[in-house]
Amino acid sequence: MLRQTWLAEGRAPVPEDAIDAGLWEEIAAEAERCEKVAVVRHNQRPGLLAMRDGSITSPQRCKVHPGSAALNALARSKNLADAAAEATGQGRMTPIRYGFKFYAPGDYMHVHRDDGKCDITFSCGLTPNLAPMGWLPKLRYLPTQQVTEQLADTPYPADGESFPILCRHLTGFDGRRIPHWRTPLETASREVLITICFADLSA
Amino acid sequence: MPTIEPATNAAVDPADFISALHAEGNLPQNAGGDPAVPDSCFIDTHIYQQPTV
Repeated sequence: MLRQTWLAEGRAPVPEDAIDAGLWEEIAAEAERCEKVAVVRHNQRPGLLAMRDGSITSPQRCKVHPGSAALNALARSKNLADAAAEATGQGRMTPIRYGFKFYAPGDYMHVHRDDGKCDITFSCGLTPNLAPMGWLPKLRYLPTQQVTEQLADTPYPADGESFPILCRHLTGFDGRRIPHWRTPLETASREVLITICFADLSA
Repeated sequence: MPTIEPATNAAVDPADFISALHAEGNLPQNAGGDPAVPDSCFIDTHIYQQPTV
């Protein structure tokens, strides 16, 4: 089922019971601690930059931290690796990039494509008020240069679609191919996003 | 035979961009995509502070 959804839509909703509820509690507590030492990421270079790995980098503002034992346990959980493998059809899925992203009101991320080595990107909220992820699945297989030309002046493409960012319920998506973005956070509260990217080390 | 035009080269070398970001201390050292997401590569050159409590 994950495989079909992945091929057809570029998404892979992880079964809700794949991650233990107790681990989510530990991760939430860990995020609170890590936020105090999180690092500001504010890339103000305007426009889209096509990178040699096929990814696209764009302006963003948020705070980040790689987490500690609890987030590491989530990234290394067998159930998540199994979901990554089932969706992508690849064998040795290993988490290579992950962390907490702390969004304050107004924080944003312009349209971009993920790191070229990421075979699947998982995201979810640790807080309940994150807006859906904007994305353009119809551009999934368009070459990078064409994507940058087409989206050069549209940080948040008006013709985009979206998928929900659920609290404590991960969704995988084809982030290295499908351009995606986060509009400026409109809530008065700060929100926490988890991102975990997997690569197939046997490839 | 039609003439086949070569692909257009990028006007900016991404390596220059990454170097500039490093010099400013604004981003981790990985290449593209979402540079804010911590990368398990390069941990020897970018250390995040761990919470003390």
